[in-house]
Amino acid sequence: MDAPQQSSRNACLVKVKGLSPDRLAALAGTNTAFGLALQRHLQKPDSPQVTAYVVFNSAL
Amino acid sequence: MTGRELGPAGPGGPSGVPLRQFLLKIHSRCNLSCDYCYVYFAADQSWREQPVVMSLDTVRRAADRIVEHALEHRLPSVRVILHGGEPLLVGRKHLSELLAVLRERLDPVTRFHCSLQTNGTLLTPGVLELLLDHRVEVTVSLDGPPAAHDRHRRFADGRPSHAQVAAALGLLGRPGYRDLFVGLLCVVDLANDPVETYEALLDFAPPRVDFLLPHGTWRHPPPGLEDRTAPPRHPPDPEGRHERIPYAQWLIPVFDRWFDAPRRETSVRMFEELMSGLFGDPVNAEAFGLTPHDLVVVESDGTLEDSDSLKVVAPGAPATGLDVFRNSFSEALSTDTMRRRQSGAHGLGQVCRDCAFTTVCGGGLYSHRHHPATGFANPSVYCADLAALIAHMRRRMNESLVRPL
Repeated sequence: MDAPQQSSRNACLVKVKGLSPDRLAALAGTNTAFGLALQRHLQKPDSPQVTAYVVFNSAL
Repeated sequence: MTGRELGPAGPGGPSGVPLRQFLLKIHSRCNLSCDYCYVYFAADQSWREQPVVMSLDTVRRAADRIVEHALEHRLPSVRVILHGGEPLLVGRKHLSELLAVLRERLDPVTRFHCSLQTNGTLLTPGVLELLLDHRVEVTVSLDGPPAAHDRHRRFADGRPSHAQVAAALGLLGRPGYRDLFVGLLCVVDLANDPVETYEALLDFAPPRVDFLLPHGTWRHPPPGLEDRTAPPRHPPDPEGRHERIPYAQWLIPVFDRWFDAPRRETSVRMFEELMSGLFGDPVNAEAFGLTPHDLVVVESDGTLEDSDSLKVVAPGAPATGLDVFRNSFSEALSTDTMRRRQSGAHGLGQVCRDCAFTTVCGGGLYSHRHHPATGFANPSVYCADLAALIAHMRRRMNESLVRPL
């Protein structure tokens, strides 16, 4: 992957690295949609999953 | 025309990632006649040639193939999705028998999760007891309040279906059956008020809501996007600024309503997976992200197909030429479509590969990318809307990181 493309993609992500652990813990401790999403992010395994179940896009 | 012939050859990525989801079309007809249905009203009309019910012989064969695949790839778990048409049209007796076949064959080999997607009109206490016995989870289609839902989801004789679906959801909400209820599927309709639609879904306390974008392609754009007939030649604006983004303008108020609730009211998969992608994590949704596709469809006659949504592309588009009687599921991994859909960014066209949102959006749903001239090597017909939605979500997430608690 080109470095400029990767850099551009990284710039579009939401980064939590600059936040203090206390701040992160406080945010992730809320039961809001964002708090739960942050929890999921912080709890993700170090090694990438092979695949999780991919939601099938179908209505009946 | 099969999945092998629909566009430029794929780049050929790594060897296949095992399938883990097996969608069985146990009934090929439906008691509703939803006017947006990709099975009955799209380019592919192969449902007409399918047996009405998947026979127990076919179920046994499919189960044996799942076992074979699970053993070959040492899968600790698999998911079987009972689908159709309307799967509950098979009746309780046949449903009980096929569930028994699946359990007896799969349980000794792998952890087996079974779910059913239904229009909800045939969910009765008797059916729910059966589903409870076999631990089958249930997802129901509901497009919003009665007027919204009944605009498209009617019986063939024109009768509305909302009242019956609401009654079924009332049953599912009872303490004894509550654990079976996985969630609701809602097809987005620009004619419906977005927040009103979302709140109507919340009335049934769904554990999860899946919003689905109506199917369409660059040749046959979705409703409201009739002017989008040529794929873009450049990635979208990473700030999400575009002239016309009706689906983003529908989804953004829903996102804000969901995001701003003092306590999360339900899981909304689209939003949660896109947020995961915005954190730099995997996106586990067929419609977004780059996670390898891991699902195969077994039609009522045992033939293997790729995702149903490909039916909107062309006759035969989901076809693989394979079936459970003669072929293993591993053979399905070698079709062009599957290889492309398991190749991550390598399976995308250049415009998507150059995009800042590649890892989040993933090019959008595969079938939504199709154009007759360039195959699937294009962004989704929803590209501008997805970019605007993702940019908005990113802004809200960044604001939340720094806002006082």
